[in-house]
Amino acid sequence: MLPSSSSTSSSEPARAHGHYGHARLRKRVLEALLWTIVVLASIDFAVGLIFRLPADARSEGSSLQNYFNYGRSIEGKLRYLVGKTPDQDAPIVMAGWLWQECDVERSFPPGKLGFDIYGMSFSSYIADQMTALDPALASRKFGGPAAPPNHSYACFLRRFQEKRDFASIQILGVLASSVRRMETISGLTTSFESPMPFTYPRFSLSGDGRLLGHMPSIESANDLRVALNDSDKWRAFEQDLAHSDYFYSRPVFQADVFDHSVIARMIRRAWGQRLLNERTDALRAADGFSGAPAISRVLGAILVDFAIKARARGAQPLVILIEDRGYGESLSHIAAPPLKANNIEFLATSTIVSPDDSGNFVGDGHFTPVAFEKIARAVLVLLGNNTLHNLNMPLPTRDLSARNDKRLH
Amino acid sequence: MLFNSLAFFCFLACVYALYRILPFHLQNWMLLVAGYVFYGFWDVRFLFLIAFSTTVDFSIGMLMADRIMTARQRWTATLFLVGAALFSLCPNWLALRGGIDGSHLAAFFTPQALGLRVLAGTIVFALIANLMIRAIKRPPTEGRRRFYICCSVFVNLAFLGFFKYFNFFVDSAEHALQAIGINPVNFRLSVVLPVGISFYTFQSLSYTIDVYRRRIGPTARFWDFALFVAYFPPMVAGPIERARHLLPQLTRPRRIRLIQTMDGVVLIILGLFKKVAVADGIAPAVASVFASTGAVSRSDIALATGLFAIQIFCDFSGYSDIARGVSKLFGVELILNFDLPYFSKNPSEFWRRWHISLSSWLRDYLYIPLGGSRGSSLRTYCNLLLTMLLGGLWHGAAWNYVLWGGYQGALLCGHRLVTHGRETLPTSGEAIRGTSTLHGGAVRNSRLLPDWLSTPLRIAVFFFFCCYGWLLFRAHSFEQIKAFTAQLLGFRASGPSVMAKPATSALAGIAVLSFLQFFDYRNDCLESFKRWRLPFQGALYATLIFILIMGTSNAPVQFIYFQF
Repeated sequence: MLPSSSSTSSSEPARAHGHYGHARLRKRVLEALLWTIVVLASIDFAVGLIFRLPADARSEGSSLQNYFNYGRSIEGKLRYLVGKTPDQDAPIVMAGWLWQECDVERSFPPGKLGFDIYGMSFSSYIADQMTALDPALASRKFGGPAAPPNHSYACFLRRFQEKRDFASIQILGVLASSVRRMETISGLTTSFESPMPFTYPRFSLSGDGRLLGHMPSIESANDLRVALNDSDKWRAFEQDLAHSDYFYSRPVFQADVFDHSVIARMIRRAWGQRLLNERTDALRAADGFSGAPAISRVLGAILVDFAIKARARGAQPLVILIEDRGYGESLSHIAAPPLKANNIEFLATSTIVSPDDSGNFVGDGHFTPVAFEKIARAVLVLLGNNTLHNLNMPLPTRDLSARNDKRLH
Repeated sequence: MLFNSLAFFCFLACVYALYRILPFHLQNWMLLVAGYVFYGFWDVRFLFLIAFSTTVDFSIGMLMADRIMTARQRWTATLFLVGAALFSLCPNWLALRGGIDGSHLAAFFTPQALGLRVLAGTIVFALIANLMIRAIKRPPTEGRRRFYICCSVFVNLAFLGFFKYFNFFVDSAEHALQAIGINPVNFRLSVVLPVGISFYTFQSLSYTIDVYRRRIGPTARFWDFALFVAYFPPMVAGPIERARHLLPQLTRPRRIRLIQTMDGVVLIILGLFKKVAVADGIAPAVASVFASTGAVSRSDIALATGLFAIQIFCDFSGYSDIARGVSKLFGVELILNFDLPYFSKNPSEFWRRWHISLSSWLRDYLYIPLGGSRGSSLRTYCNLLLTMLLGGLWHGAAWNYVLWGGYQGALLCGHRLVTHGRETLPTSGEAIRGTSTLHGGAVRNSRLLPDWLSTPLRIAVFFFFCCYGWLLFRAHSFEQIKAFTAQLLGFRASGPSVMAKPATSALAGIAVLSFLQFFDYRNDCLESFKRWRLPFQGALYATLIFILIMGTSNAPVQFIYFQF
């Protein structure tokens, strides 16, 4: 038998106000609405007060304090993070600036085989694992948080052009999730929830195939500090972003009255995420970045030029294609052809650890230590057996680019 | 068009505004068009399936009654079907995804070969059907009525079977043949699963079966029946409505009352809260464990399974709440689909509280016709098992759903065995909440423990069994089921923790939802917060809205039941 109307009528909630007349009912509805608005405003105010950011940007806020401020405008966050003087800056303000990361001279300990590695936290962890596996090795790490290939390449180029000390092994790490950042000039827009202020050039190809870099007007934390207090400079930087940063969005970037409301901030956060996802999807990473074909061409040119310049300085170039969660093997698909065509040694991490297996990742998106170790071992194998004397592992029977070939075709 | 999307709320605003200004007969027309727009948003081509089901079931309904289809009815049905084939299948709708410029429009108007073939077939089918129907001059005999209902069941299940299960059965047959050393030809087709096909097929099927059983009379107006099938709030994920309940509400003028509108808005907020803040906030945490191919920790498996129980409840009941809420805005009441299911003390009670519209459908159109509990005990157990196995298969074309159905059937059989048949699936005529099973159930066991202790204990024990069922449901392979079960039982070493942290909105939402559900359970009344004093009600609504806004930054996940 049907549940029919009985199931509906009996399921109806208590009609505590069923006997009210229309006018009284309308009054009750309005009253309920009013109470809702009043309490909502109170919650907004109370949460904003309880979970306001620490007065000192250098001290790390709690996870809830950060949570309720993710939706603050990028400009609003920068004004909080950047102090009046460098010693008042939040730690993130100092990270990743090219002049700071790449111009520093560091020498290797005597008796160690040194290598330079450019990239981001992933490449840094790989370097750590490599030196842990083979204590005869020493690393020099250059990079920025989630740095894209244009940052790494700009860093390498800077050292190359300024004829700084080059290790005999030059490694460039390219992170799959950062390839989209090749369409940006700073770490602000693609991670607007926790913006990273450092800047880098956006590269394009000239008619004759040369790489052209466009550097934004702000090149250091100090430039940023000055610009935040100088409306003309700030406007110029915004124009830079509007012109050269694919992910720039004025409502997400500019500080406004909504920064003062927790609810408005949360709505802006959702809107910003949606925008970011839409623009990322439009690039069609899984389809070889068919939405922005320039990315593939520029990345190919960067990798080839990196190898040419490294070889010109007598160093062995190596590229690590770091394929993190959510991007499958999209990076291999666009980067492997130019690498193979130019006989550049490379390793695609998807041949070692699957990017689709959440078991290979920790909560913050990095690989697990075990996965990093596997990758580091594979890099060492690729670099040559002479570095393996301290490893308790069977020597490889075949270099890994053959496996790359197999997976890519 | 997803209920939790901006596009839907723009659509709803337009439909509601039109509804309020139009007179009754135009309201129904508008709702019918809205239903087709709503469904066509996913894929216009599948509108033909709905049109075909509508036409066939309407005609069969008429033929089974002691009535003759008038020329007007026949022409209406024929033109509707042919028009649907022409509109939905002949243009290249996919071309418009690239834009609406000249080249894309040209591609759009290029007739599709498949569409033209279906159109030709539809015209031939309509002509033959018309000729046959014209020849019928006498009221149908019982034998002919049986033939008609078989046609209806066959047509509906054939569509469902082809679009949903074809590849599944082909794959299964291939594996079976390969196991005995035969390599068969690959019959796999790239069939796209139409969203919600199981829901509207069952809804439409219930109409013809009820007409056949003479529980209801056939509707004489084609457009009323078309609206019954295409009424958009419950269209893609339920509740599975019955003609007896929904059709009368659609065919008579409706009066929109303020209280009903207010209830509708509250239900929409509650549904969005469940879906956006809780279900979508939990989804990445659950997925991180079930997507892992390596070893994971025992606590991860237990926690992910428990969280999935909450996710699927919030996802599905959230959809039902929004559907019911939206429908109330139009003055139409939909049946209740969830009734505090995790407060069930046994499997029998669970199926009276979980996905009520499906369990009652299975009961009325499968379990009872199979003989229900009227035969021997063995027969009853077989009926229970078969009903639940098919219920499991209804959920999806995968063996883990069948396994889940079998598990639920085994639980029901086990429970029946323990209670010596005193507590079974609800019998015909039993109102869903009329049995007052909230406290103590239908069976009064010999009390070893006082109620205040035995009730929570029984709820907790059954929740544990229920969660294991969800593990079967959520797992993506038999290997994973085996591995996870072995780890839970301690037969396999625990691996590292891989679970992602659930969203803050989900944690806050679970706390609020648990409180509300417990409050409802204690008061034996759904949405009992409506009895609260206004300031407290306002505070609750504000809290729900605040957590809902927190959840808006969770990555949107498609409703789980859309795939069914």
